[in-house]
Amino acid sequence: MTSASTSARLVIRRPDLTANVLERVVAALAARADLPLDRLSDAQIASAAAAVAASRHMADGALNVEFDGEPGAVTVRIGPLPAGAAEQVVEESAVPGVGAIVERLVDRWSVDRRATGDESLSLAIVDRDGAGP
Amino acid sequence: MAATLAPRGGERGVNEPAAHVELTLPADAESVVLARQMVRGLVDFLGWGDESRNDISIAVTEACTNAVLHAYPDGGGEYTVRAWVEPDRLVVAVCDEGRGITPRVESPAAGLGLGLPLMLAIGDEVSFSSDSEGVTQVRITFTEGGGGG
Repeated sequence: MTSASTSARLVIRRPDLTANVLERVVAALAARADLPLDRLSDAQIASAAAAVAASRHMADGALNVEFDGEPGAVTVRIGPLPAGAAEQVVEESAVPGVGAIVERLVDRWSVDRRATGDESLSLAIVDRDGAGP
Repeated sequence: MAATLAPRGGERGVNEPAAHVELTLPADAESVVLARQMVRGLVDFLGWGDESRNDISIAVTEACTNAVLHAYPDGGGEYTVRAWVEPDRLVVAVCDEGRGITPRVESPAAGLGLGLPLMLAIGDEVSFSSDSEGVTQVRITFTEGGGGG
């Protein structure tokens, strides 16, 4: 892994491709960020769960995801989403007996609201034992 | 395998459907792994075998590496990998807004010159184009076991 940061923007217009594509891209980004294997796995699962839930809120069927990777940390931003949808995405990732997967697996999540009325869901996964920011 | 070199403005149809998946990356060497993994995810979705997956990964890596090495000689810039998935074929286009298709010039940064032969050997159809808006595109059509797969 180098010290360089990595950014990427992904658009998925076919929901049935979301899990396959997102899991692989997130895994590559997490590996480049030197996340340990358990955190890499958390990043994959949380991102895929959030993206699949988010795709149900997209009127035009296009899911937009932005990624940032830096040593020890990965950030995944999903959106724009309709107003109010970001928190619903977190809630809809719930699995019986486990709770909201997104909330359980990521280190931080936040909703960024824009003046235009839409919003995005931001997920941060860091290396808890390492030098993550 | 068929290869074409389209003139400026001659390749992209105005009615072309939007790509099913689109990944935009900075034009640096370390980004290529993300493009490769995106395409491997699509091959997994199609259920094609390991040989196809490996061959397609090589061809897409070469197309992306071309964009990284040659599109922006002054650094910076981005490239986009677009993909269309159909039951029996996968179309991948690597697009940049760099300096366009230029003749190969021997230099240490030019590599071994194997990228184009590999893309032609692995893809079923390969085309190269630059349009009037300055977008250069390498477009490769794959089928399972087709081309070199």
